[in-house]
Amino acid sequence: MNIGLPGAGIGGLYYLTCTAIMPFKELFLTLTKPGHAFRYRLVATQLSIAAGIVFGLFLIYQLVTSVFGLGLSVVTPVGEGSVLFYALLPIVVSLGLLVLILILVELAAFLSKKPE
Amino acid sequence: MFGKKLQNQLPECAGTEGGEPKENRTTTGREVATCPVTVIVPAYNEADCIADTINSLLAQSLMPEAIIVIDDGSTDNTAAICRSLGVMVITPPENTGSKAGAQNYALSHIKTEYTLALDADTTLKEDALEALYTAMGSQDVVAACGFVIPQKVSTLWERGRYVEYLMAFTFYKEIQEYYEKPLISSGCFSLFRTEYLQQIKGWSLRTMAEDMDLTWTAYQLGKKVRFIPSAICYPIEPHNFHFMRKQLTRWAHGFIQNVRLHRKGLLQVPFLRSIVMVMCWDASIASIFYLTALPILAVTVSPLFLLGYIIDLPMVLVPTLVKAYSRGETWKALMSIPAFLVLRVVNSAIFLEALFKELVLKKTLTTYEKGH
Repeated sequence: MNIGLPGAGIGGLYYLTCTAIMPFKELFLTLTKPGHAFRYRLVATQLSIAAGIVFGLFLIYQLVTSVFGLGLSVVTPVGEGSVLFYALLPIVVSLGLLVLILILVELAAFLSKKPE
Repeated sequence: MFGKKLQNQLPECAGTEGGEPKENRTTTGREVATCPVTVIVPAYNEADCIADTINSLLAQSLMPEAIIVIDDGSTDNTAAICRSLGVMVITPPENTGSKAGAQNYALSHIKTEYTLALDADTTLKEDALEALYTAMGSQDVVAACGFVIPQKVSTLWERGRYVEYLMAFTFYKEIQEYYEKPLISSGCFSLFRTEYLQQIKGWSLRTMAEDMDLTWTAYQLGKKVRFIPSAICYPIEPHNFHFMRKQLTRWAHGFIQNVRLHRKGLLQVPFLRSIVMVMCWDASIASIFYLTALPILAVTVSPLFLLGYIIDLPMVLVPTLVKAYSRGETWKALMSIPAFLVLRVVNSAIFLEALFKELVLKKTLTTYEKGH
């Protein structure tokens, strides 16, 4: 059951971030939890998918810029490296938005906690 | 119910976590172990597909102790077909009005430790029940669900759903399982501890997405829900716009109703609260941007903004193709991608409509309509 916009939006970014955290969490569990074995297969599979997605997004960016000449036509006040800046801007904005939403959720959770 | 009891070798995994299988039985000459599971199948005019569902149950590598079909006022020969296949059929005094109602009617008939809820149009891979049963090890685990793949992939809508499921169950759901919070234990195929179902008085009728309600309630009670990707089920998905619209409308209203109902409790469940909040954002704000801002920008500023509709294609393509390749269905998945893009637009539009009705017009959806 998926509602709204599966795939698009910051949901995708959220899951990519969760995947990036997986190996660190797994390492932490392995080191701190007795009997826990590092789940290599699961982590590797999800990381591979995430890497494939990031690589795919990079390819699409390359394709779009080469076909439509985007970036080259952007008038930039900051000189060299600005094309990269404009390419990264949507990602940075989306990440910022995701972080903001997550902070708001955690804040709401904290405030809604009933005192013991 | 299924034939003579035998004592024979058990499947290796049976009983290792979910409890010892009690006995072996035969169905059509096969010798298989059984587990303390009662399967309940709510059915309303399912004569076209119920035989396939029952036969897939009878072909399981680990057999349930009982199969109960709830014939919820069918006017076709659903009940007769089920009886001819040797399963128990119970009939409520009148149509219960919803799948949850039919399932609740069956709850008092269940004497086993576990209950498998299965839709009448859903067949199972031969080891699906065994995989779920094995996952019910810890007492904290009250529900387990599996991987869902459409049984028929032919029309635009079925193809769209096929891609959606391959993507979501391969990437999203696996991550949710890793963080121990699958968003939902799918209504079409889930195994429950009967004790838990009795504790929460069965499937709730207060929302249009009773499976989501049940899953979120479990988390708030400190219980666990598992997603087992090797347990594969094959439901029949809506084949045309008419039925797809009904199903998506029910899901959208159900999601909104559940968020409203559980909003305080959700905040106390880490990870789940983040997923739900991100979903709320994507389904509402991102949908508005997707359906209005992008076309307006494309017309007024540059047609290049239309690229926004396909720019996230790798997000869909990569997990879909990973799973499709492993199933030998790469070409089928590739050819179905455009259908997914159509389904996604429809899905977001229907969600916005549901949001408007629920929050602005205060018109809560209360009538359950079948999705096929």
